[in-house]
Amino acid sequence: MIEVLDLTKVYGSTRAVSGLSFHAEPGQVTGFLGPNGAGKSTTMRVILGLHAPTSGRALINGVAKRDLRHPMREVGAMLDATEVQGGRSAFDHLQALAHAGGLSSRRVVHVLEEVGLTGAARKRIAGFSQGMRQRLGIAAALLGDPGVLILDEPVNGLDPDGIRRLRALLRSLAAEGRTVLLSSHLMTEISLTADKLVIISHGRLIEDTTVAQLQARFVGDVLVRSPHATRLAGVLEAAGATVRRDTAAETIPRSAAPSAGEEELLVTGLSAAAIGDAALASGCAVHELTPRRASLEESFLELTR
Amino acid sequence: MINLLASEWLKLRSLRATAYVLASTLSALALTGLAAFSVSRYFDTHGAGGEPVGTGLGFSADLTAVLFGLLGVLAISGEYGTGMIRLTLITVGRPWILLLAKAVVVATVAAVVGQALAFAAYLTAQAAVGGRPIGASLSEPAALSEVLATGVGSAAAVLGLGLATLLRSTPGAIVALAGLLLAPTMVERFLPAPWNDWTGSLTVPSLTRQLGGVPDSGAFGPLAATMILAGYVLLTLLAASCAITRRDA
Repeated sequence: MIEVLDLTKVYGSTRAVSGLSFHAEPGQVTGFLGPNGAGKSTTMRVILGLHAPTSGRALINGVAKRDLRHPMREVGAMLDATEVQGGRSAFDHLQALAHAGGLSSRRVVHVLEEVGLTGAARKRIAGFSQGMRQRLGIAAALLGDPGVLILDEPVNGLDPDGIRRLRALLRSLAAEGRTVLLSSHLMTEISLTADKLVIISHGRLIEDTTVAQLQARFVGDVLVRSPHATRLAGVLEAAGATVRRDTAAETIPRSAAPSAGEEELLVTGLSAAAIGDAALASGCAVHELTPRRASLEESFLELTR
Repeated sequence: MINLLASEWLKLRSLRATAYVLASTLSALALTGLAAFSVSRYFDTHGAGGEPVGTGLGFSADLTAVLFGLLGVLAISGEYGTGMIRLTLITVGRPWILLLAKAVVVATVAAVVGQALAFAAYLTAQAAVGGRPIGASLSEPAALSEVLATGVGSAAAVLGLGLATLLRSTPGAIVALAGLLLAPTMVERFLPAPWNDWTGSLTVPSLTRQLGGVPDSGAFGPLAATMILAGYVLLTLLAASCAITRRDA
């Protein structure tokens, strides 16, 4: 359980986070989303006790990070996978962390296996690719088998297979009842993993919602292509729909360009089925009927503008 | 605390820089041998008029103080340089405990290696002196206590750790360390008596000799020298502890 309560963090004259409140619940992957510079990393650093809040509080399992008795067993984090000393082997790096948390070497072996770095365990981190460092960072976060996981942009630098494995891992960690807070600046990426979305922009909370709710809110319209567009538009408007005919301004993914005599309508307020029925009843031919859903990426851009 | 000591000990020995710094302290032996040899040659040509070699430890005292201090610097500056300090701080409860663990590990390593080095430097000097009556025998209490004090004094390496924590930069900490250790020796030349004696007596290498009760080594007795040296270390660690606790990492 992570609780952020009316958190504000000011650096000099910069207000990085402003009155931010949200919860991340156990058993869920909470996506923490915002454009670059929105305050995601700052919030995570405050939650992890690295930065002191200017005002407000951030709690892990009900206490501030610095007051946790066994920090590694309660919270694991990956903030920036490049922040490691390259001179050490992956094993020594993790073993030093394990020592600090009073954990056995078996955990080191286990997490190395979990992220697929067993073969590189004795190699110096300096020779690691970005993706390998990312996996090492995830291994360090998992080391103490913590109930709360905080990962800052964990998919950066991972190859498609690594991303797929990470998604499955995070889903299974949440399914085990852990709290997973996952930041990203990519809506499409996070919508595949997260249950809940916390969207921030300029340090302020924009949305605290679920992926499904957000998608439902941004339902799109229906594209209708018809040779009897003018008559059909009248029929649909009479049925309560809003019809736009200025499709030139839209970038519409089409199966085919409208041919001579056809016109395009963008209809909102009626389902595709209802439009089809209305067209049949009025004797208007319909050459295309495509429901369009605003992509999450577009809704994200709209929200954080 | 035991857990953190194990962690910091592994961190220190798993970095090559540690081995390089400790290996470079061997240069003190070469310096000592060279200086003792040159003094011996002077004795052969001019007779017993010049300075004696004594234990020979004074020749390399400034050098080893800087090199062991560097060990302390590297124990944390690398973590600040790479940003790994954040990962480390996430794994510990209170930041000052981390600093304390690092201090204990650095001080122990420096004292053990420093002690071995002190004996080696002593033996090197005596070998260069040969049988000439300008050396010092370990059967003289002052000679033995100087060798032992030099070893113990290496623990002042912790000053490097404190400076690096305060400055969060490897080059910055090295410059500050060298300045702090060597500046009094330079300043003392320009000061009138008795200020020059007091200032010169406040350097870490000089305090180490006074700690061992070496005759004519400075203005303070062993007890006062111990307290001043311990005061340096405690003050630096206290300042560093406040910094690492209060500062955003």
